[in-house]
Amino acid sequence: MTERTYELLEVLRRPELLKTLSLPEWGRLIPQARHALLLGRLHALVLQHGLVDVLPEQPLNHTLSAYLASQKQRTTTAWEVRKLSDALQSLGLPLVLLKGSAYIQSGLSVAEGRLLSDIDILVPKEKLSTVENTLHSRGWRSSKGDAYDERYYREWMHEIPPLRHITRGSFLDVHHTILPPTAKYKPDPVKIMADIREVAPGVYTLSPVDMVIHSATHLFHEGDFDHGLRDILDLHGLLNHFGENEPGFWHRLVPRAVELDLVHPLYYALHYCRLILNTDIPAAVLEQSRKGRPNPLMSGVMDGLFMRALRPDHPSCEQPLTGVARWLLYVRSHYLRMPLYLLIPHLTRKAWKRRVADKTEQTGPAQANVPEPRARANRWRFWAR
Amino acid sequence: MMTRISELDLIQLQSQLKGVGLYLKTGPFSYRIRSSVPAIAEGLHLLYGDSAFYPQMDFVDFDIRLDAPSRLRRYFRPKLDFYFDHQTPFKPLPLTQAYAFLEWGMNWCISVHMNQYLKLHAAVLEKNGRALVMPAAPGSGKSTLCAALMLRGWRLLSDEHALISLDDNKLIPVCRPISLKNRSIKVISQFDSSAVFGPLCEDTHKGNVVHMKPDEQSVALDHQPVTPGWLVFPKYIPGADTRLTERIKETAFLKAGDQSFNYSLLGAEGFEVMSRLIEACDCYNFSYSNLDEAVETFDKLSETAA
Amino acid sequence: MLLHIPQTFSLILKSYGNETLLYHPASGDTLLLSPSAVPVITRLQEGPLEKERLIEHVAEVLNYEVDESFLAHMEEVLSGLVKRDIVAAE
Repeated sequence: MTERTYELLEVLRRPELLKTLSLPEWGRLIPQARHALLLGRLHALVLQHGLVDVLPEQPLNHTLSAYLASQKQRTTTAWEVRKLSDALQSLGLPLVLLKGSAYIQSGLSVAEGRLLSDIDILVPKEKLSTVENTLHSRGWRSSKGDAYDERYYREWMHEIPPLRHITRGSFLDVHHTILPPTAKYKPDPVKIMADIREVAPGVYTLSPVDMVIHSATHLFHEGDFDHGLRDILDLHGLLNHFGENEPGFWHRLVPRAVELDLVHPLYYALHYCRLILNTDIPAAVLEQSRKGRPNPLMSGVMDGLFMRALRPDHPSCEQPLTGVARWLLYVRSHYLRMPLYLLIPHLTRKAWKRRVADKTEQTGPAQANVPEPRARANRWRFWAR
Repeated sequence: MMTRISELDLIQLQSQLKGVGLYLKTGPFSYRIRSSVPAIAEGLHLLYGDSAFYPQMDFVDFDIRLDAPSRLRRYFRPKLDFYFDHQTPFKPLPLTQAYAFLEWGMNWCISVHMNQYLKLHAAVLEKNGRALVMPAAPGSGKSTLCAALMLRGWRLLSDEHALISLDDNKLIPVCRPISLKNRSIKVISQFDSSAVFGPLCEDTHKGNVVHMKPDEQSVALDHQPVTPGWLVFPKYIPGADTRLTERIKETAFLKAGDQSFNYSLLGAEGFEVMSRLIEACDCYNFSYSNLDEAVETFDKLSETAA
Repeated sequence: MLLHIPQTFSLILKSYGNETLLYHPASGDTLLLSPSAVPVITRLQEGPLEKERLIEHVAEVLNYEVDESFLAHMEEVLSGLVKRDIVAAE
């Protein structure tokens, strides 16, 4: 290959390649990593491989900048975890962390330089309203004003609407199971809660196998492919870490997924980790997981879709069909999540809302007005004097 | 021998902007700018003439483009999109605001992406080897004062960003045009007829906006950091007397922090760097209405440079 | 009531003349301290202390009479420090 177009995937697979990149290659890598939310992760890799002093300074400024932001998030997350654990301890409940915050609290290297947008926690369904009340009294309030959104979350999703802390501004997602109750697969949250693991006093994460299965389920059923590459990298990191450090991990992984009725997403996770990042997975485990494999025809179609959708979201990585592939995966993930009669109104409503937004603002929803130069998110507390 | 952007004629610059783009280095950052909008070419030609022209660069920090979203819109509702890395972080703006949109977008690139400095929203100038840092909210007369000081021989480091090195606390220059609004435009053109202005953008969300060219000397020294000297909080008050009053340091800390883009993000390091800045500076409040008196006051202050 | 500052907080204090700024690395807050809060923090950084003893200590440092108004003021200062997660009470 004279021109490497997929710098990001290559260096994620083999970080030692970072040393060989030319400046123009860095010039493509940095925007790819920025789009995939992986700039900070990239810097963590640079640090882990002791490359700070040998790599060119200009691109490293970008990775460093994102890394500093992720370091700040770690501190903030630790503080939020402390506050949440106080709140749940007052109810005699464990604080069970999911996803990014769980990786941070478990000290996993995959959390190094990773950004997260909110904190996810798991509580027993019967305690949901008690937890919500306690959180409310401690300043966490619903961030969804729209009554439809509120109902959608409560009736059909596995979460209550996202909460936002009134003074600290942090976002919190409270889950009572790891898939919506209307989904095709029905993992039993009680089984998952029975296996949680304490990482600090009163603070828990899922067990290593459950953490991997949950991460797989999240990526391959929730339709959240915007950060597909980051999520597959999480899986890669989790598999590497637990495969090395957790006795009996590989042995338990597939049977547990079968027990939880989640062997399909686990199959995809293992399959695509190996395909995209060359993850080292024992052949026996791969073979075992094939019971979650779709039929051969479907399997070929899925390969095409996933491989496209998981590429970094950047024009230098686009192949024809990428947009369509992403959309099909989105529809598929909604199909797996909700009965069809419900799916249609929801998708059309989403589309309709978007159209209205387009009409009034003439743009997509993620844009802002040109910002006033303004100090952002600085937290001052003045002492009453 | 270095070629300057002013050595290109407008047509050449336009074709550069329409083609591979104009590569621009300002302070520690590099941009690649592409646009087919004539006002963008005119503005860059007028205001960045003293900057070096690079036929190409191996790596750019910020790849930006300003163009109409679609062919159709060009005729119906002439609006512009700002693309950063092929994405559009802002709502489109009318074509008449093109040049201001470019400068605002360039500022945004720095304020959201570069956290390896402590960044304040502030004007920074230098005299006698010391930096004058003036953090201020919009509307405080910071840019007017900054323009006047530059026109009277102070070296401009930035009208918008104080970049403070985390290693040695020095102010890093990022010398770009000064943004003037509404009444200040006339005030400055009357203050000094040698001031060079870019395209006027009318009726923006900030009113009328025009950018003023930095002087040749400031652009030439755009790579030399400066030791901090004075931290001054300016306030334009119509009809007010010129007053420079000392300010106690801990409130200066809080007020400067309030104008920071990333103080919180830097955590304990932000606190340390800000403390060192405050300790290194004499801190003042400054209120003024007369620009000549203001310049005189700062010239006197500059004589206190150690 | 025993008051203490959790070890993990590693508070940073910076004084300029008579005034003191506090940075709380764990919460990310920056605070301008009231003069009577400063001896509370410097004393508790040495180790935990009973509330009554702490108030006496502050009065001694600041050269104040321990009267009703001082006690009321210290109540306010201490509850403020607890509320902002700078000092913990057991």
